[in-house]
Order: sequence, then structure tokens, then C-alpha cells
Amino acid sequence: MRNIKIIIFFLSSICFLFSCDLDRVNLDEVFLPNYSITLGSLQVAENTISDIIVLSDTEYLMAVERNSSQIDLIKFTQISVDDTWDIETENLLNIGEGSIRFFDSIPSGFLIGFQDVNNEFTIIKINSNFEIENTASSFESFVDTFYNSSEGLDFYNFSVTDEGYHLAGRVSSQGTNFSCLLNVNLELEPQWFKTYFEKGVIQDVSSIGIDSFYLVHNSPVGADLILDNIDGTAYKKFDLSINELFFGGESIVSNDKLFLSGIDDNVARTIEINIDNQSAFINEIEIYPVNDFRAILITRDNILGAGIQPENTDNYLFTSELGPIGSIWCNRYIDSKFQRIIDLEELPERGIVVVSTIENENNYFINITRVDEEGATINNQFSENCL
Amino acid sequence: MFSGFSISAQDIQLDTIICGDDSTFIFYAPRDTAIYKSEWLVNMSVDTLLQHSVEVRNNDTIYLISTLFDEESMSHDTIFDTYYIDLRLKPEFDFIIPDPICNNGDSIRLIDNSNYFDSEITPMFIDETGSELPYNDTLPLLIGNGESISVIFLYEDDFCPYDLDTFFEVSTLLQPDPSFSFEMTCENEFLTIINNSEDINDQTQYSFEKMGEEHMYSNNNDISFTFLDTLADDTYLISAIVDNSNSCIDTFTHSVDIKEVTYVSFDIPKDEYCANQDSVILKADTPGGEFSGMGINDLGQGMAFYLPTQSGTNISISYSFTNQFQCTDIDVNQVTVHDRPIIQLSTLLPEYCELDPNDSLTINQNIENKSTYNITLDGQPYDSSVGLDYIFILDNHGSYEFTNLYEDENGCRDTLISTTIVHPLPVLELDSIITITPGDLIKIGPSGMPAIDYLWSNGSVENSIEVDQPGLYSLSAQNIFTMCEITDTIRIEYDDDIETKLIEISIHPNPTSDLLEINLGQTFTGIRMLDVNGNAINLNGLSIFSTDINGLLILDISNQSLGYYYLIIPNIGNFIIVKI
Repeated sequence: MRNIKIIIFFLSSICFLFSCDLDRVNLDEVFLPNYSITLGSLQVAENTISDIIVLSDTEYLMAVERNSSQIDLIKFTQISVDDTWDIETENLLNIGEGSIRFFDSIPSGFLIGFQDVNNEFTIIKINSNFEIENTASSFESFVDTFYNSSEGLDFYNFSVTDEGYHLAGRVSSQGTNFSCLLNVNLELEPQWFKTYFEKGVIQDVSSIGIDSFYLVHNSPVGADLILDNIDGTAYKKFDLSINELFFGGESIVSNDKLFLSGIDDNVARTIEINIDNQSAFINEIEIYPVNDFRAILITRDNILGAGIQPENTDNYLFTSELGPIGSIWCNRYIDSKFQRIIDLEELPERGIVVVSTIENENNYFINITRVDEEGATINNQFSENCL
Repeated sequence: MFSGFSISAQDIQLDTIICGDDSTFIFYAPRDTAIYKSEWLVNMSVDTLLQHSVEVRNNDTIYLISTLFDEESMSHDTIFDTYYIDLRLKPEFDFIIPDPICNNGDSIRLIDNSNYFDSEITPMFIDETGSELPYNDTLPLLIGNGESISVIFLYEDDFCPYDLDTFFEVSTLLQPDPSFSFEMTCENEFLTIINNSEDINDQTQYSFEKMGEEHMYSNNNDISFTFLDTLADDTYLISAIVDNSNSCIDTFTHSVDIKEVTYVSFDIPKDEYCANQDSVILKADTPGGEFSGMGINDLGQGMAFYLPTQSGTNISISYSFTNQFQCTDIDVNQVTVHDRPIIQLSTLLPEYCELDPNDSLTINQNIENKSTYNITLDGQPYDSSVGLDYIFILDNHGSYEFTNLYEDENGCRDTLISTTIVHPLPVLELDSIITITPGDLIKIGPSGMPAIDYLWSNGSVENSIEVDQPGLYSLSAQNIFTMCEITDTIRIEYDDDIETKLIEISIHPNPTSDLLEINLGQTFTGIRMLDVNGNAINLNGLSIFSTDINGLLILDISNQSLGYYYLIIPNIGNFIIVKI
């Protein structure tokens, strides 16, 4: 998933995994990678969407939509030669042609959804050997009979359940659009379909419990958080804003809290929603202005954000760990024209990896930035402390 | 000189033929004078002087007495020869060949003036067939008009070279034989003379004279000659001269009667008509004639009914009258007949369904203000308009009759009546919107009607369906007989009021240079501002702020330094304020 990061490994399990050394790594003694590398050989579509999946401290996996609309599953390997970091790429799988809507890991492998060149939504399940296991498309025919006649489907995110996947998005029906949710089983066969509001879109979905789910719903009149289940008996809608505070969304579910992120008037913000007492707390970061922003909940129970900060004609990439008020640390790369944040991921105790796109003469390239958890500790002319 | 001679045998009389040039001839003795002593006796007279030769004439008889003296016996032997002299002279041929003359039927005479010098040879003339022609100095020849013949003259001499074999051409000139006939001619006709003349040639010229006027014709291809002017009712003497241009001429005279004509006329009211539309009664000033022309129905008595059926220009209508002299007068009027416009009403269908899209009707003509539509609905006046086009609004069902009238620029008209039927739509009314609570299952749709097929947008063919999801559901109902179909839509939506407001905050403007308006919707206390270093901001002596009872708080930060500030609202959030 791109916008919702479900931390399926709760803090306890994370603590278990890292119980061997819960102390902060001594950065003076450990050689941690810090770099910002643009892959000039990997030209991508301007609005390519993906998630980066950390395979190891030195290997990442990502589905990439090339500028030719070719979608490939690519492994990125970080290497160091003579104290100089570099990234090697390996094309693992040719997935097809289209426009990526989501890509993320699932318990048995990976799931990618994209609009193919025929404007049909297609989802492909890839196993851990990077082989295609299932492919499904032509969901319209199911929707036509299960729900109503449809002219198009588009899904922007998914969540995992024990029995399958929820696909969140929008359906075109009878000349208008409705926000919708499609459930498919583990074989990607459609099971049920729900609609919500006209002219809306479900930007994100997060499964909770057996059959319930949270939905981030955006519409021209604002953003909502919806709690629902298959038969609607759990339905609740929470009005997040009457002023469209959130444009896009990045939701993070952790226990009884839901974290969302977004941008309002060039201010990057996160919102922490307490499900139990139905309250929300907004936390904005001091980097201003911000064009694009993504955030994750890291193992230290803090929010880690990455965004694009325009400065005159340049776009900087910043990474910041948020504290109760303001940033704990902030690192900024100023050497390239960063365009969008694709994804970021925490490597506990080993730093942060941020994937973004770089614009160069209307061509777009993948950039991978690696910083340690206390920000840029290696001084160079392109990296600076942004606090 | 000798051209030949013969010597008769002893005591034998011999004919001696001599070809000569003169009337006398010196005849030599054929015996050896050294042995014989010869004496000549001419015409019984002895010419003692002659020994060896004698001068003879034609038809002379000469005797040669030859004496031989034998010295041993001292005897004389005498031989007596007789010659009959045929002295032939060459004839002097002379023929008079007559010059060609115009043939008058008489024979042509060829005259032979030749001198044959009493020759006993008979010359002769033969024709081209080899037959001998009777001949005695003059040869009469009967030659056809304008023809020629050849005659052959033969003179044959078997002994002397005086033969003559020649031919003569004798001919006559072609004498014309004028003959003309005259057709009956009325005073409104041209006099035509039919040429029946014979024995004419390619150069024959004809000269006609009428009342001192001369008319020349030379074209022999014409079998008739027409005077290109009319002659008044009268009797005229026509003289003709036929000249074969070979000096042979003949004349012809004839009296011609020119007949009287009864002149008639009729009037036609208009010059232009419309086919199959306009009609008129025509009347001539003199009855007894006959009308003719396209669209004419002659009624007799000098009247006709005129109804043009075909278009055209300069169409002739005529009235013809023939009097007792069989002279005819025709009065002709020309008219133009226009086609009537043929109205075609495009796009009008035989059937419609109520509320179908408007149909733009138009007729295939071009004068806007000469076209009218008159429409009835179920027999009652419904609408009318002037113009070529008509927007057929299908709001009402029933039987429509369209009457289109059109008149073109020539005044020609057409009327078209078209009918159509607008079928009523099935009755179908769905609620426009139904708000449901998530989890509700509701039934939507009308009661089923006979002869109506239903089709929902989800594929159901029932008249009603149960739904629980928001959406636009459309239902089509179609009459199975008229195929008229109506579609209605029902919008199912979740109740948007079923919600909980988590956040109600408004902070603006941000960035700001002075005032910052904070609206929280309800009373809040404990609000603070911090700089980036975490230091509290004191505004007008206060570092902790509260909203009013409406949740409104206005802070004036105009005196603060430029930069970022945190606005801390307990339980609501930490907000970045940008002072510019």
C-alpha cells in the first residue's frame, strides 16, 4: 500500500525482533549509509506510484512504472565501493503495461494494482519468488450484476484480511462516480462490493478485526473517516474537516489509534485519531512550505515524515522525526529537483530510506535517499540540518 | 516506172493491173528485144515507133507482136500477146462530218465526197455492231437526243496499197424538254413548282417569270422550286425557260390559281402555367377549326380545355382552320409550363414515442415564407407555423396529421398530408432520491404493469428490486407492442448526517503578518504560542489564551519576529503559524 501503512507488527513484536539491542546505535562507531542517489538509467512516469519494500539492510524492492508505461518489479541493491555509495538495479519481473495504482507486500508475497492500457483495472499477486501467482481484471462484469451497471473502476489502495483483500477506490456508474470498496478473495475473485458517496473516492482502507475496516474518504466537501463492515452494521462516519484539510491521505493504524497525514495550505500535518474516545489531535511540522508529504509511524512510536520543500526554483527533500512539538531531527537534501515522495520506510536502528522522483528537463527519475535516524551525520555540500 | 507487170503467154489474153500515180503508164515489153522484134498495137492501132515500151491508160487493151527471124530457115516466128490494162490510182478521200446540233428528231447526214478514180472497189460504212449501213455518197444517221454514235469507213484494195479503215463520231446536243406541275397553293403558302423536265443536264438553268419578276434556279438537285414570297389570292401566268447551257433552250408557260385563306386567331389568358394545376378554356374567333398542343382537349366549336401536364418552355398551342379551298390558317400561342413543386417532408417517422427527442422536420423547398405547416392532433387543431422547418416536440401522444402547403416562385403549389402517431410512454415514476441508513435494504420500483418489460441498470428484469448500496439506479420500462420506452432514475444515498465531527477548527490567514483568527466552534482555554525554540510568546501580557464563548480567538502577532511559531491548542493539536 502506498498511503496507508498498516503496521502489522505491533510494537511488541518489533521490540521482540530488536530485543537483542534496544539501545540506540552508537553512530560514531557504526558505519551507517547516508546518501542520495538518483538512478539516471531508470526513467519513470511522472506520477508513478509505488511502495518500497525493504528486503534487507541493503536491498529494496519496488514496482516501477517506466515512462513507457512498462511496469517492472525491480530490486535495488545498495553497494559501497571505496566509501562511495551506489545503487544497483535488477529487473525481477515484467508485469505489464499501464499505470500503477498500488503496490505493497502481502503475507504471501506482493500485490500490485494498475490500470492497464485498455483502462481495465488489473491486480496481480506475486509470490515471494517474484513470480506471478494470480491475475484478475474485468471486475466491471461482477459489479454490473452485484451492484449496478458500471463504466469504470479505479482503486487506489488495498488492505489485507484473512480471507482476501479490500480494494478502495471509485466506480463510474450511470454517468457519475461513487466511492467504493471491492472485496476479493485470496485468489483475487470478487466477493462483494459496496458503495458510499457520490463524487467521492476512498483513498485508503485499513482492515481491523475480522470484517471491519476503516476508510479514508475524500470528496469535494471534505475528508471523512468511515468505519464500516460488510453488512453496514458497523457504519460510522467521522467528519475530519469541513474545510478539506486533507488532500490525499496517509493513514496508519496502530492499536486504537489512526494516524493520517496530509497537506493543508502548504503545511504538512499529521492527525492522530483516537478511535475509542473519538478525538483527534493535529500535529504540524515546522518545514514550510511543503508540496508533498508522506509519514510513517516508526518503532520509537514517533511519526517520521518526508516531504518536498520548494525553495525558489528548487525542490528540497526533507526527512524529519516529529516529537510532541516540532521535529526531533530534520535532514534536507538540496542537490536535486525533487518532485514527489513515492514512499519511505524505516530500517530500525539502521536509518530511513526515502524513494522520491527527480525532475530533469521534464524527465523523471527514481531517487533513493538513505539517512540515519538522527539525520544527516555525514556532512556534505548537499545535505544539511533543516532545524 | 513499173510497179509491176505481167506478161501474157503467147496467144493468151492477160489482165494487167498497174498501181499508178498518174492517168498514164509506160508499159515495157517483156521479151528480149535483141532476139525479138516487137511491135505494139494499142487500141488496134499500130505504133511502129514503139519497140520496147508503150504508154497505156486504164482500160486500155494492148497487143505485143514479137517476131523472131530464123536465119537457117529464113523463116519468121511471130508471138502475139494481148494485155488488158487495169491502171489503178489512189483514191482521194473526203468526208463531210456534220457539227453537233440540238436534237430535233431528224437524221444527221454524213457526206462522202471522195474521188475513187473509177475504181471498181466499193467502199462501205458499218456501225459499231459490224452491220453495213446503207450508203450512197450520203450516210443518214438517226442519233438520240444528246447522244453520239461511231461509224466505221472501210476501203479495201487487194492489189494496191490503198486501204482505208477509219471511224467517225457523230452526235447531237441535248435538247431540254421542260415540264412542270404546280401544287395547289393558298395565299399563305409559298408557290412550289415541281420540276418534271426531261433531257436536262447538270448545267441546266431554270428561269421563271411571274408578273415581270424573274426567279432563277440552277440547282438540279432540287426536284421542286419554291417562290419565297406569298401570292395574293389571284391567277398568275408563270413562264419558264429551261436552258441546258449547251445552246439548247426550251420554254414552258402555265397559269396558276392562288387560293383564298380564312384567317383565324385565339387568345390565351396567361403566358405561364403550372403543370397539373392551372386550366383554362380557349376560344377561337372562327369556329370550325381544331385546337392542338400538349394538354389541349379540343371541345369543338372553336373551343378547347387547356390543362398542362408537362413542363417546358415555348410550348405551342395552336388553332387550325381549313376553309372550302382547303386552305388552312393556324394561330399559334406559346406558353411556359412550370413543374409543380413536389413537397417531401424529411425525417417524419410513421411512429414516435412520447417524449422522444424533438424531431426537426423540413421540406425540400427554399422559400421560407411560402411554406406552412398545419398540424392536427387527434383531429383537433394542434399547431401551425410558417417556414420550411418545424420542430416536432413529442410532448403529447396521439395521432398527428401534418398538412404542408408550399408555393414556389412561379406560383406553383403543392400540398402534402403526412400522418404519424405518437405512442404514449409506459407509466413509470421512481422517487428521485431515497436516503438510507447503511445496512438498510429497501425495495424500489413500481408495481408491475401488463405488456411492459422492465430492465434495471443492474440487469434485473423485475419491476422492483432490493438495494442496499448508494448509487444511481435506472429502470427502463418498455411497451412490448409499441416498443416505447421510458427510463427513470432513482438515487440511493447514505444519510450524510450520520456522522461525528472530529475536528472543527479554522486558522486563517496563515501565513499572516498581523492578525490570526482561530475558530474552534466551542470555548477553549489554555491556548499557547511558542517560538521554534519552545519559548512561550507573550501577547499583550498574556501567554495563555482562551476563545470567546463562540470558540473565536483573534491574536495580533504583528509585533512578533518573522518566522515559524507553534500554536498549541490542548487536545486539538499543534499548528505551525508562519509570520511574514
